[in-house]
Amino acid sequence: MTSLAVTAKFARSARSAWQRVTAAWASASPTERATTVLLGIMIVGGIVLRVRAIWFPRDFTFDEPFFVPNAHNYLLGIKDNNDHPPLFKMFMSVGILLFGYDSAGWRFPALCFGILSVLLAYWLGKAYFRTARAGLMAAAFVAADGFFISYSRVGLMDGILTSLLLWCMLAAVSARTWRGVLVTALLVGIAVSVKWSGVFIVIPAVVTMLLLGRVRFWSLLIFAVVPVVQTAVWLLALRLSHEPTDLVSLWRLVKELVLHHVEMNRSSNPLNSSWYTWPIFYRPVIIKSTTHGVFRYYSSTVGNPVFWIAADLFLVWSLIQLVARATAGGGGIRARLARLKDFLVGKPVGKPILLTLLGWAALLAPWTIIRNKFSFTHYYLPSYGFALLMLGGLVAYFERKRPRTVLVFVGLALLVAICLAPVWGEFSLREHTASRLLFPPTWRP
Amino acid sequence: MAPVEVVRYVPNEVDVPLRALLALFIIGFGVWVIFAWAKYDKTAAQTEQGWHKGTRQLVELTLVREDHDRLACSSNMTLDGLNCGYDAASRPRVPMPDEAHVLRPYCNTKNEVLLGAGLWDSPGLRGGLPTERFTVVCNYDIVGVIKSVSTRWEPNGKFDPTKQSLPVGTLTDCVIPQ
Repeated sequence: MTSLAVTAKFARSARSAWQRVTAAWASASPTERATTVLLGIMIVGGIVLRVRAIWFPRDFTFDEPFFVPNAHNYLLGIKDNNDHPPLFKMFMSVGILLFGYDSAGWRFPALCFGILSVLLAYWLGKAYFRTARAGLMAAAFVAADGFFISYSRVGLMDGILTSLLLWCMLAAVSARTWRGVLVTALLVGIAVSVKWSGVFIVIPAVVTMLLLGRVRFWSLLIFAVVPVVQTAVWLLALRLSHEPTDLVSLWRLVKELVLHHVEMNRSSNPLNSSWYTWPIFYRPVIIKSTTHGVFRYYSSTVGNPVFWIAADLFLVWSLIQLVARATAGGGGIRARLARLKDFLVGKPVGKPILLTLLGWAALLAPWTIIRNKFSFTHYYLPSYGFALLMLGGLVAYFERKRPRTVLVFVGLALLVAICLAPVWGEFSLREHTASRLLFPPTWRP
Repeated sequence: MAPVEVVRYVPNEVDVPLRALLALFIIGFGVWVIFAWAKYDKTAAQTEQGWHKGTRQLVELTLVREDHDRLACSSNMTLDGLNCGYDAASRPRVPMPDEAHVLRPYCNTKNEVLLGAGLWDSPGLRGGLPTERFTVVCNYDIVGVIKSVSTRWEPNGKFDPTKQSLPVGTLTDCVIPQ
């Protein structure tokens, strides 16, 4: 395809998008317009919070020392001693190449992917729920949530992993033929090359493709390329670091790392938290914390309480409904299943909600099974992304019936975001102010 | 009037994930522009957030009265007429800049280093100074950041290159808190 054709395609796409935006604004009620303005403030404010003074502190913070020197090693052509797959550190080395061995350099990829997550949430919300409004809601919720903001401001991999997983699901929802499946599988391979736990996205991706019924069953075999992609990425990394690049050496290295992770799971960590505390943000971590005299600068991973409380309540309500429909009303197993099916996919938003919930559950499930003393709140970030997508779709659905209620909900979420912005975006605070904002003792450092 | 033709672009299955890749590059470029525009490495020192060129900060420094002769820095840089008492080769500047323009390294109460000029000229420090270690509170007007600078903390000590960039500014209205 020539560059002229690409430019023309891009121009067509942009023109089409603009026409849809103006048409949607013209047809919206004053309440919906007010909600749109608040959502816009959330998105712009969220991006500003991600970028502002991201280079501070100028030295390592939290787990950055485990990754940054190893990312630098790729540029020096020496061994990566970290215990995770190499791609995240290779992304980081691009930042270091652009900005030098400097905090801006090593936080650059997390910031770029953090902003991309907002855009992906829009596209994915729109693809799942088939309305741009759901996409806008999801994008605004991701933008104005502290969990996502804090992971965009630090040289750690979980924000990047989450972004790649959303990207995988966008490809899965868009897939129509084997080519779409191949793109999804390539993206899964890339995500797994950032962090192994990303492999669980295969479950919602495959189920989504099957439920949407657009791709042939045999084409799902293409997911076999996932380990091939991971191997290719790893061999490239070994080549960059002047290590042996034969498959036997790679196998030995991977085995060593797996054993190391198994061993690590036996040790304990003061920041450890159990999976069932994650959805209620019982113990969010402050991943950037600096003290200067009487001033504190925090970047807390606590999510926006309006979002996670709403998402959790919906999850609990759904569970109660499921149990109630399965146990009450009489009839045989078929009648019960029919009632469950009606509840799950009866409403227009039923199937997309089911799919987003599947993403949420599939990425959380491994941590409910592998229970150990070495699990942390940030393992919940990818799951939480799907919870926010689900919430975006739900709120957009309810807006058609109760626009004023939704305006109040969005307004409240924005208000809470404004209150918590100082502890998400490292504003200069006195200790008592920070403690007042992080009022539950388990939220404090 | 002819109806307006609505162009409806429907992306295909490969376009959608590719669009995200294009977006990532655009975001990367945007962030690069912001970083370049912010000039964070020239205007923001590594020590404190919000310590930008042109800002005034209240600083609390720990001193002993001999520090006037003990503390010194060496660099060829001159910022806003302020420079170190020694050049990059650790030779004393000739002529030696006056007290209001000669930079010295100081530690604040968080043990972080800054370069300041004019402290010993302050009216609040002209009287008799305490014989023990004491703290002074000053207004610190930041005029820039120096990356390549060495500091000395003893009269005949060696100048050691600093590992991080340091803020440079004038210290005024210094008082010893009672």
